[in-house]
This record gives sequence, C-alpha cells and structure tokens, in this order.
Amino acid sequence: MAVRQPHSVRISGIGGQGNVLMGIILADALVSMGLWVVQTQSYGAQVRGGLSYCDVLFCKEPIDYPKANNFNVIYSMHQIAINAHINLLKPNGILIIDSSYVTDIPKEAFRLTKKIVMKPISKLTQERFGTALPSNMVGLGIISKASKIVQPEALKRSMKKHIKEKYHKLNEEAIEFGISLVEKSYTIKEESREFIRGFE
Amino acid sequence: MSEYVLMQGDEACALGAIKAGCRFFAGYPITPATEIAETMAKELPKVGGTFIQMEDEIASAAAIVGASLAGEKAMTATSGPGFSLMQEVIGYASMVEAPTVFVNVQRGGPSTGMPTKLAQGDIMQARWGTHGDHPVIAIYPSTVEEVYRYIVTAFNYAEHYRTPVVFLMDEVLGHMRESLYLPPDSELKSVPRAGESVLEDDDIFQPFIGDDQMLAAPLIKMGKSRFHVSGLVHDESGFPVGAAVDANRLLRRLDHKIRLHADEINICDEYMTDDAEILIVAYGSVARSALRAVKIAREDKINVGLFRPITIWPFPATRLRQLLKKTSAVIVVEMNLGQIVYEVSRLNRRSTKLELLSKVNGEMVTPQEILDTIAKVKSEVLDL
Repeated sequence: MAVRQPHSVRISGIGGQGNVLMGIILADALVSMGLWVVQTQSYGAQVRGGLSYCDVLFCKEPIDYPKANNFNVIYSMHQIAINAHINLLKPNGILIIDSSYVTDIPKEAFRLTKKIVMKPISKLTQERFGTALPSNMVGLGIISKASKIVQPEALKRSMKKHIKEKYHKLNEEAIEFGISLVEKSYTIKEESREFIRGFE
Repeated sequence: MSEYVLMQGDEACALGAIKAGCRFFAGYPITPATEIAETMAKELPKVGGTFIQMEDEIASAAAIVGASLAGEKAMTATSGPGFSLMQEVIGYASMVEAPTVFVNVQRGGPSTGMPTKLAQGDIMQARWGTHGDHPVIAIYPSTVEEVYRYIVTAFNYAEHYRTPVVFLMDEVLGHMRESLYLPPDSELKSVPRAGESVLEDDDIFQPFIGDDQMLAAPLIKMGKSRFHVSGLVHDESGFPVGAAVDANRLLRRLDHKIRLHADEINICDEYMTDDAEILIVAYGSVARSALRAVKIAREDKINVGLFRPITIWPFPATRLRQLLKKTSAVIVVEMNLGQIVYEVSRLNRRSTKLELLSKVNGEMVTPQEILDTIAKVKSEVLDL
C-alpha cells in the first residue's frame, strides 16, 4: 500500500489572463468525470498584473494535502510565470507554453522534459476569432489533447456552467480549436512504488 | 446517492449556513471572506432572508446581534482586521446571550498583513479577543465538506448554549475549491427557533433564567412580548443590577454553561493514534499536510498519529490528556508563532517531549517539513 499522490496541473500567468477561470473549468470537468479534485490559487493584492497561478489536483482517492510540490502539467502564459515555475515541472512532465508572451524557454526545461508544446496561443486565437479573449479556452483544448487527462465533452459541459450563455458557442469552438492545434498526445504516468521484500 | 459537486470553502460556508436556518447576514466584504458575503447576497433573498452590506465590521456585528434577539438566526463573516473590530460586539453577544455566528477566514497578520496568504494567527484572539471573562465556542474545520457540515453545528451550538460561536477558517480553506458529496438534508439537523406560541397568555418571557444545567432559556421569535437587554451586569429579567451577588451568579453561569458542557461540545478527529509514539497536533487546513506526513511516515514504519481538534475552544483537553499519557513525543504544527502549543503544554503534565513546527511566511506547511520534524524528534527521543 503506497501513499497515492494526486496528479497535478499548474496554470500560470499574470493577473488578468484568466488562469483561475481556466482552472475552475478544468476542475469542474474532472469532477464530472468522477474524480476527487482540489483547486487552489495564488495571487497578489493587485487586480491585474503580477504573478498569478491556479493549481488543479485530481486523484481516484480523496485528497489530503491540497497543494503539490511539483506538477505533471504546467501551462504557462507569461515569461514571468515560466521563469518562476519551470523547476516545479516533474521530470518528463508536459510543458505547454503560449509563445505570444514567452520568448525564452529557460534551459532547465530541456533537462526536465522533451514533452514541450509551444504555440503562439493568444496570437492564433486573435487571428482565428478576432479576439484574444477565448485564449484560455483554446488552452484548455490543448491541455485536453496533449495530456489526455480530461475529456473534451466534460470540458464543454463544465465551461457552460461557468460562462454566460451568449458566449457558449465561441468558447466551444475555442476548445475545439485548441484540440486541433496539438499533433501529439502524451500520457501521465501513475507513480507508486511497491515495496517488495521478496518473501513474506 | 447524494450530489457530487465542486464547491469553494467560502461558498460552502454560506450555503451550509442557509441550510442551518440562517436568514440574516450583515457584513463588510474583505479578502479572503468576500465570497461568503457574495454567496449570501445572491442566495439569502431566494429563501426570504435578508442581506445587508454594512458600513463597517462593528456595525455588521451589532446588526447580527439585533437580528438574533429579534428572532432570526444570524451570521457575519470577516477576516483578521474585521475580526479585531468585532471583538467589542462579541463580548456584548456573550453578555446578552445572543445566538450568533462570527466567521473569521484568517489571513496573515497583524494589521492588513497578507490578505491572500495562509495564516492561523487568530486562535487566541478567538478565545480572548474581547475583554472580560467570557465563554467562547470556536470551531475550525479542515475540508470544504467539513465547512458545509460544521457551520450547521456552529448554528446549533449558538442556539443551544445561547452564545456567540466563532467559526474559524483560513485563506486556503476559504478560497479552495474541492469536490465533495453534498450531505443530504436529512443528515443536517438544525435547532429551530420556537415561535411565541410557547408563551401562554399571561406569561412573561424570561430570557436570562438559567436552568439546572446553567443554560439560558431558548430564545423565541419575538413579536408580541418584549424583554430588556443590557451589556451591563443584569438579573434574570435583563435589567441592570449593581448587587455583587447577582454579578457573581451571572458570570459563573455564563462560564459554566460552556465549561461544564465541554465534553459534550468537543469534536476532534484522530488518525492512527492507537499505537502512536509520536503524536502530531494540527488543525484547519494545515492538518491536511500533517495527515499526508503521517501516511508517509507510517509507510516507513514510524508510529506516528494525528490529533486534530475541530472545536478549538473549548479545547478538547480530556481526549488529548489521554493521548499524552501514551506518547513519547508531541509535535504541534501551526501557521503562527505558537498558540495552541500553549494549550498542549498546559496539559503536558508528564513533560513529554514537545516540539513546535511554526511557519509564518504565508505558504502552507508542507508534508516534507513535518516529516523532517518527525525525523528530528524520532532521533532525539526514540533512537538515542
């Protein structure tokens, strides 16, 4: 019986980029898939700007410690955020970067993982929809396809619970658009090591 | 099967309070308790309740005392700076025995401190914040589900013991969203307020007569009858008196109604304490780090257990005293410079090794930090 660690996702950027809403929608989608979920956030006293992040933990069992020391998936929307959080990526974790705001990937990233998805997400969203507002939904589509942790249908159901009805169609298309941007999917591994003495 | 939902701690606090029969909320928004006021503003009118945003926390506290005496179950919610302002009225509510619930979602302090960071600095303030000897009940849950359940308990204790109840939370617990099975209504039992029909035609309502258990008569919904309320020392009718004998009787009764019922009030949780050589005492969201640490330490065959007071005041002394007899060392984990550690120390008659793990930088204590402390204590006490 090993202590089961929940899987963890960190969505990070600067205040105002919509990372907390993204985390809430992801968390709610995971709940609808029957998983135990904890979502926490960190932000400063200011409304816009400044490092801000939202963590989503999920597990097949109830979660005791509600924070994570490192993450299976990091979704980074700003240079400040990736610089601050790159060392929290688990080895062989999935790193998703919005290159509209990130120009330099810290070199530690390449030591930790090859699973890097880098797209100018905000710019592509602006071109496709004429507004960068649904960038975070595009991001959720990317997370869904790249990590396979959440079903797109669950994401869409959850999005509709948290967003006004007149924006449902736009955001649904944004999630689909995100999915279409990713060529390759990765799997998150279960980590638990059995202690085997060899005889009992 | 009950409903499986994702809910924020603050939201659970407000929705649970409404389930408990709360129909009046007066407050002033403050991080990290704002979402309680937000949820109340949205939900209370739907059930015929009243939400008022007051000019400040002193007025908020006074308003809920008024609402409570007039017959509605009432609550306010704030954080450290507002809780300081409310202290005067908390004393008043103790004195006039108004059933009220004061939620304090703690932030880093003192003063404005760290509004969006975790701290547990208001433990002693919840006990001794207002002046004069006074009884207090304080409840501090650890999970969003517990927030939803124990806020109902807070209202029930307030009604039964006719006292203000402090409901402590913290930034992590308030802002965290978590999945939970919503307890069905049949599981949540709340003490109802009786109507004036309990009074016969010629009865005068005597709100301050203690029964043989030292409890004051249950408050009723007011309308026809009236009674006098004063923060001055008063007799059973509620009118101020100057006689020493009356003062002694009142203050003793106020104290005894909680002190003599402490074992009935106390709620605590334990994990693997049966054979624990090292006992960890932790509460609130920090107890969750401790729970993980205990699980990991048990994997390594270290006999560690967790004791978690849920009613912080009155402190669950009876049970902890029993556990202290069996353990070789105690570690108290808190996000302050050491507050509950004094309670544990007071009960530690056999001078069991007592270690404090304290953290005040706003970041939650990690299981690793607790494991490091366990390793240190183990080598000092058990190995050498």
